[in-house]
Amino acid sequence: MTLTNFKFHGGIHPKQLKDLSRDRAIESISWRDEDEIVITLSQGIGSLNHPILSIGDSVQAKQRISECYGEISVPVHSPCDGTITAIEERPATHPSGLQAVAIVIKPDADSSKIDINKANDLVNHKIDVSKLSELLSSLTAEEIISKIRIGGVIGLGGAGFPTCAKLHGGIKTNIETLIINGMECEPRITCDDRLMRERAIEIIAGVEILDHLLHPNSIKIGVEDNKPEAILALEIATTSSTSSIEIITTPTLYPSGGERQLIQLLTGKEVPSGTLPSAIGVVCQNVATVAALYHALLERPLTHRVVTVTGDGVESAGNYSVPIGIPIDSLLTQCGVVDSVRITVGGPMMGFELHNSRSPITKTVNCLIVEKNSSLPSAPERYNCIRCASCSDACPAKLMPQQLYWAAQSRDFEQTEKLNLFDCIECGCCDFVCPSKIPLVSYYRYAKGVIRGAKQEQNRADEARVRHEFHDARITREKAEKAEKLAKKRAALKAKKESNKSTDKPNDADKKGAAIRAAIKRAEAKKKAAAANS
Amino acid sequence: MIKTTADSTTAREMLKVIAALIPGYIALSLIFGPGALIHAAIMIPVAMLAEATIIWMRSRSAVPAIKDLSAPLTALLLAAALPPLLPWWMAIVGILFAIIIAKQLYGGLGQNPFNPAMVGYVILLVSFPLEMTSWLTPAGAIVGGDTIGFIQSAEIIFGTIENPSITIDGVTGATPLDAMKTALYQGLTISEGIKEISNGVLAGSGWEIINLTFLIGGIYLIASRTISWHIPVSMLVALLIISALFNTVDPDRYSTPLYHLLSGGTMLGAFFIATDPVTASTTPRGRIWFGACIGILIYTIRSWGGYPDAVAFSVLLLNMFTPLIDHFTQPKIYGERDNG
Ligand code: SF4
Ligand code: SF4
Repeated sequence: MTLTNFKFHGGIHPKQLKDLSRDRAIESISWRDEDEIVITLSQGIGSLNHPILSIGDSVQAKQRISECYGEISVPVHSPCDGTITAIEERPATHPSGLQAVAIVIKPDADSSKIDINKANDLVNHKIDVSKLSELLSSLTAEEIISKIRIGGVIGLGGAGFPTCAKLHGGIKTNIETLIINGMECEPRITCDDRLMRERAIEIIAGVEILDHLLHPNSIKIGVEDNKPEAILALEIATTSSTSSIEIITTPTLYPSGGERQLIQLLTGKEVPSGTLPSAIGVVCQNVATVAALYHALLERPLTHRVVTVTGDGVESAGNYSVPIGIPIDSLLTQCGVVDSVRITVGGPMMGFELHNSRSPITKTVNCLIVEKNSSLPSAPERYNCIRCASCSDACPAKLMPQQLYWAAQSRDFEQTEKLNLFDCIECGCCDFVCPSKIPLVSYYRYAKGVIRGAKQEQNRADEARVRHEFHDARITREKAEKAEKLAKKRAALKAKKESNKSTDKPNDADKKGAAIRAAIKRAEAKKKAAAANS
Repeated sequence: MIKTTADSTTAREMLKVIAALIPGYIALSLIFGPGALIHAAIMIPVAMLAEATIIWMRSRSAVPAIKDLSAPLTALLLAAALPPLLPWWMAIVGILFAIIIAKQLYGGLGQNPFNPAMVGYVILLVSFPLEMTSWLTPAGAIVGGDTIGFIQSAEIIFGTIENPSITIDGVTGATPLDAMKTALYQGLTISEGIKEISNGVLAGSGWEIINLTFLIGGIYLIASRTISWHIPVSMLVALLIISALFNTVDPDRYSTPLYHLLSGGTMLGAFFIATDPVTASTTPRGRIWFGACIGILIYTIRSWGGYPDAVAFSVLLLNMFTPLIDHFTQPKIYGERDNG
């Protein structure tokens, strides 16, 4: 264990409030008999997913149920054996509260409810190191990344950036430092803490995979000093590791777990604005993501995740391994939720209020805060900005939140962009310290939305074209497949007839077959082009 | 530049500033009698009433604006800067200007470009130059062996009786800064001027004590992270450097740095006036420029300008440049590239 020598600008010390759940071991909670599983098609960032099964089809646990194109996108999987009952818009677990297309699965009565990864829990059995390295050396880097991608792994720390995309960037450049994010700096959340305490071996196995893939000069796991048990568990797990891993403790200071802040904390370097960490030779992954990619490599896709359920609105707060797609109200009922509560998805700093408790758990939900309405503080009285600069003193991105606010308030969006609006990580430090109680971040979100909307308008045409080409390719392929089937049938029929007739006349099935093969080839080429474009 | 935590509110920060004024007020009262307290007692209700009325006229709820304590603070700052025996109605004119013209007409707390207390002060200074420069001399404030008491102060401030037991003419004099200026005009040297004016050791006439007490309050504000150090430190350092420079070159014509630091409204200005967050620069580098420019301006006006003290003018002048300073002192953001 080493201490870090670097710091980032600003930061705050909110109350930790982790005691409610930090000593509760991870337990499994699964669907009840009456529940259906709702898998939102677009999880995390950049997914343009497309269902590959239809209503009425039966699925098996771990089965992939969508396909995606484009490098920044991963598929989703079913956590259960069951039947697809609908593919339709359902309430999304999203700040907007809008609907999103989801695949709805009715689990079979006899489907196993156990988290597959938990069942394969490797804490007690040491991971077979030689087997892992054997597997790794039998695969190319691209194959490893593709396994991680097909396993549906995205960043589980919150933002949901597809892991494969980060790794693609990583293998193209020289990676100096691999950073594993075990900070969990938001108040209340404890799922990563538990994961590090209970499944450190899986995390370290995942780190070894990344080590093999990226060949970094150094590997650093950052953990805030308020998690001594996690630090100890990781230290024990690293002793037997083939990779040389440093565990670095940092002082508890929000938002030390923000990717850019953590990189600054551990390396002293700033990621240039508008670029990804790989631009300065850094790849950063959250601990839960690392464990998930280890499982993905062993053909166990991401179907479950650990969620912290906390707050005074539930009887049994704790950390639960739950199937992705379980409705939030089912999970909360099983935790003993009281009436009239406010549910926050994510931490108290960056989370959002849930509008519909029938929304499902998605891959990026790390915490549910359930608070009795009666114990919520009334909204603080709001004053004018007094320009006190508390906000800019606290801003880890070194922005001028007050000036951003003035610009956003007067709808001068051009000015907000000049003030680097898009470097705002929405950490909420400015809100937290503002003595006038101005909801600053909501102004920034709004401004970002307006600007993005304007830009999207421009991009929409391009996007539509890509989608259209993809669609075309699929139609052509399906047609070709149909034609091929038909041709085969015909050929079989003809063969039958011919054998019946016992004549020896050459048929035109071959010709047709060649035409079909050519069509398939064309379709494939088109599909590839579409994928490259997107 | 108020540094806060989650439970900090505007009102709480204002309250801290008010608390930090206490030592200065005690010193003012001990040396010049309770004039400042009487002024404050008049101006605080007037300030709050004026604020509530205007907000009510704009048909908004006046409750938050009253609760934020910014109006009483403005009144307290202005009262600390007024001559202790200024007639009551002038004090009211001053605070009305501060609250109504300088603050509410611009949209209330946070929207005003100029420091309200200083606007009130300057309006009074240009309207009633005689009264505004007639300070009690500390010696004059001694009546029958005691500092001038409440009754005498009130009698003069309210002008209630025909023949007050003491008269303004009998006890007031110019402030040391004023007297020094006059002495210099008369061709005296600084050291002769000091003799002329001073019962005090350095800056004359008890003023150094008043400045030191405001300094104590200011240190509390920095220690409690209510204000940041940038503006007061840069202002005082600038004043120190420039006065030391001229003093070394020509000690006969230019006063010592200590004299400048401890006379007039230097400390009140540095820690309580220039640091008003609403009207000061808000970027870290900007605050340093802001403070330093005020320090230099104070020296310039004191040494070569027409007015004896210069804190009010310097602060107001720099208030005008606040947006410009902010614009040119944008901090480098996280990950900003050198070329952009
Ligand atoms: S913290 Fe609030 S009041 Fe202070 S400058 Fe920032 S936005 Fe304005
Ligand atoms: S939310 Fe944005 S502006 Fe506010 S402190 Fe965080 S990064 Fe800075």
